[in-house]
Amino acid sequence: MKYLLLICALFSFTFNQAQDLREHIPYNATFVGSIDGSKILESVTISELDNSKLGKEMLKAFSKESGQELSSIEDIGINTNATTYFYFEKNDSLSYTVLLVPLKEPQFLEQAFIHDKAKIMQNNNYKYVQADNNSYVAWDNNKMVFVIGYSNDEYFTDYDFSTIETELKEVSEESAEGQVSEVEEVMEATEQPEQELTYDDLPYLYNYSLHLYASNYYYFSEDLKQAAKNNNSDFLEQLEEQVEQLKGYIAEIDSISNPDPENLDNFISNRAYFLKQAALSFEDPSDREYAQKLIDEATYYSDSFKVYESPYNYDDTSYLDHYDEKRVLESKWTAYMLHKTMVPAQKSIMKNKQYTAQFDSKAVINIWNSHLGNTMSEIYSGMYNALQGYPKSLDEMMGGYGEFSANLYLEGPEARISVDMELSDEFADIYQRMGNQKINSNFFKYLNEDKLLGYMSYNVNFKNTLEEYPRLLAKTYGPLMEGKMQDEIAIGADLFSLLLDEEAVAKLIKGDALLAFTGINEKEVTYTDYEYDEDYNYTAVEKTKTEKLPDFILMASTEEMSLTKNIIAYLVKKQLVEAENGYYKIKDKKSELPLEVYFAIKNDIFFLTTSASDISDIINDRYTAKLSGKHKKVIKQGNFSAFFNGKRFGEAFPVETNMPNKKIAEYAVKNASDFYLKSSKIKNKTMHGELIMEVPANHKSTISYLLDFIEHID
Amino acid sequence: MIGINFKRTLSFIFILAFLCPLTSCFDIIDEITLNADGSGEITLTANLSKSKTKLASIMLLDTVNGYKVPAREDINHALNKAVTFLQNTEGISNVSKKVDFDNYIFSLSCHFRSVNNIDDILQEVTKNLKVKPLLFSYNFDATKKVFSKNYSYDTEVKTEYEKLKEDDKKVFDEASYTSIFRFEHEITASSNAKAKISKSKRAVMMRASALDVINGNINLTNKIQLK
Repeated sequence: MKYLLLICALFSFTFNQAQDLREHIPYNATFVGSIDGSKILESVTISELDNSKLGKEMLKAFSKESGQELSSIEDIGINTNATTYFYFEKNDSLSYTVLLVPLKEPQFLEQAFIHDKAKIMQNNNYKYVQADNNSYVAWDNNKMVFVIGYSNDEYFTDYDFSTIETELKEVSEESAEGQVSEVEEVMEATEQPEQELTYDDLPYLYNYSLHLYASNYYYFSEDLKQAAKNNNSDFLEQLEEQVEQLKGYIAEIDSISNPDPENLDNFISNRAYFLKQAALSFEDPSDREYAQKLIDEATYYSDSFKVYESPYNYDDTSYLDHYDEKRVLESKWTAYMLHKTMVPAQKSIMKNKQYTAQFDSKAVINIWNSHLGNTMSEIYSGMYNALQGYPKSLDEMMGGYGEFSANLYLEGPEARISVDMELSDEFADIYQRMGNQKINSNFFKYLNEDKLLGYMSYNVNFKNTLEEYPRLLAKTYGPLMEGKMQDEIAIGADLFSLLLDEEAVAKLIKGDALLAFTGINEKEVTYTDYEYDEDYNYTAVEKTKTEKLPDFILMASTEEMSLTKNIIAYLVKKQLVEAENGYYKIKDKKSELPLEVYFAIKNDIFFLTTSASDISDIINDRYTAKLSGKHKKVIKQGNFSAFFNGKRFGEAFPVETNMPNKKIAEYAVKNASDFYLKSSKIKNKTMHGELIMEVPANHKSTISYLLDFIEHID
Repeated sequence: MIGINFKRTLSFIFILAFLCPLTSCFDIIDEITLNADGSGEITLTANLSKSKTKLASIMLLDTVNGYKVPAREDINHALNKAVTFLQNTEGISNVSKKVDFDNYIFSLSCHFRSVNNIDDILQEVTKNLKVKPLLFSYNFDATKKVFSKNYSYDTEVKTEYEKLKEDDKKVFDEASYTSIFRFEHEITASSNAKAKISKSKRAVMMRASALDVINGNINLTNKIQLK
């Protein structure tokens, strides 16, 4: 936890770049991320950070954990002139994540580890500690490297553990020497058992002859005890036969393996102890001696046999899994990566053109993945392996998605996340065909910006989508079925196309739709209450109350008038909908929406809304539209867009006096900001999307807004 | 694809608009009609109609405030199980249920041979509950014509309530409990001053807020003497 906290802090507050730690990142790292503190510091000062709630809590936690009094985040010793990086890389044996933090001076870090009584080791010009079995921290004057590694299970298939086994055995033998006296003590303690074991306590012995021996030893001892109790010396001779039988079982045994030796010894030593005690009851010393002889002849412990190490671990009934050996190897390999990272990579990520091309020095945070399809395949394969063996054709799976890059920009009054995803030729073609549609600009005639809380628009070519979507699914998920279902999926996809008349369906649903939230308005809602007469008989009465409910309107382009007319006529006939002055009210609401819903078709647009007045205005050409060019552009630009007017939502949102988290709710609605989600058409086989958050006017920057927001959370 | 997102988006807006104020009103009505021979009818009704828009919004979700939201099928299943249980209980007959998801009103009713049968049901239902919110027992002495409802307050109820998060506590703010008894004979006396006798003197009604019941501020015990 301590290390985690430290790492979080170091990661969160590293600033600017003088020394480029990217030289330490290998060329083929799968995931690379970076955070540029200098961009953060453009909008917030160190002292503002120190005095924020978050900063204070971090300083407090650090001071406590490190045993050093910290007054500023700068005291942690981070180099304010560099960028922090993290990356993920996987080789055949190990998957590991590395954090590279630039340091100004390492004293704080070192003191923190000393305070924690960690064993600090020196290697060349840097120091390092083992934080956990599979995690290490190293530092020199300029940087700190944290590595956490996980061994890849598949690497251990057919792995030769003999070397590491020998090594571990030597270590355990060395440490065992100091523990001999302890073991002897335990042995002695078991010499005088408190309670005699019964037949029910007889352990199951995997060696069948041994099991027969132990169970017959029980009967032998019971008989001898009975004889001693009755001082029946004649019976002793009869017991000779039993002793011979026991010896016979023993003769059949060549060797035994764990856990039989321990189980046998526990049972026999207990029975023998009480048996010897019982034998003392014979009155005649010669009888006592004879009984003793019989017992000695009949009693065998595990040291009478050759004991070998079984490959099965009966304790947890699983195959001996080399758990300890794997952990040791994992630790060694992680340490190796640590030492490797402390020196610059032979070929660093800086030579990876794919990475450098997408890296934008203006971004505060950058996250990059070399090939999402491959990464996803690895993740799926891991998951799949755990379930049922090795899947085939994995490289095909999700293979349509390539390089992924995301950047966060803090640009004055707005924060922007820009995401790019590369597609394979085939996927780019599919998506391009699916997206080949312009949004119906007539939608704009039915939007009023002054009332708008937000909207979402979709813009796909429905005909092409119907044709391409099955193909996309077959491509994506077919390989997951281990190739077994691939044909069936392909047939299913063909059947889908055969059954659907894409042309006809595409006339009914063209594929562009816009869902707008037009306000939170007071509406009258009914509820059932009871009225009691003077005899307390009650009748259910419908009462009304007003509640603030959101209104929405959904618009979708359609062309097939004759079909829709027939459908509506049918719905009216079945009394599922009710005609009302040119529009329809849905009567049978299986939609679970707690609102009245109306619909109409006009100008080749299907309208669905909760507002009777809006739909009435639309039908009667009275709707007052108002939409700025900015919104029109966002909606038209790509295949998907969204907008959330936080400020207006804040004004309309009903903060009730007794609502939970009222303080945060009030803050949130008072400081709500606008969000945009934009997309672009596929260009150069790359999908592009952006999320933009505008900072509320009463905050100077995104960071100060964020800090202020945290300030208001309990 | 559009359909899924549409539903999800609507859910999101409804959550924003309603879920924060989880102060829902609900009424529990417990009605017993007692015949002279000690048999009778009992109806238990839960009316959540005043909160129906909030509930309809909540039903669009899987979980709220960390609690799983039951689907309609879950609620129906639970009620069906209750009906089956009652049908197989000694002395109970004519079991029926009413489920109204438009108004969120649910009720269960049955005929009992003796009020002791209700005690048996209550005991059976609450035997595995750590906290017993409504510890009732009923008794009818036909010879003395005395009907009594004995209520004992379990302080655990308050303890458990106090353990709830502030947000969850608000669910009970405006909830109420109503108990109505009807008799063939006239009532001559009712021991609980908070219970009101009807004009015809054949019914008694008592109302309490859920918070009073939880906090033990109200005694629900009543002894009714019939003519």
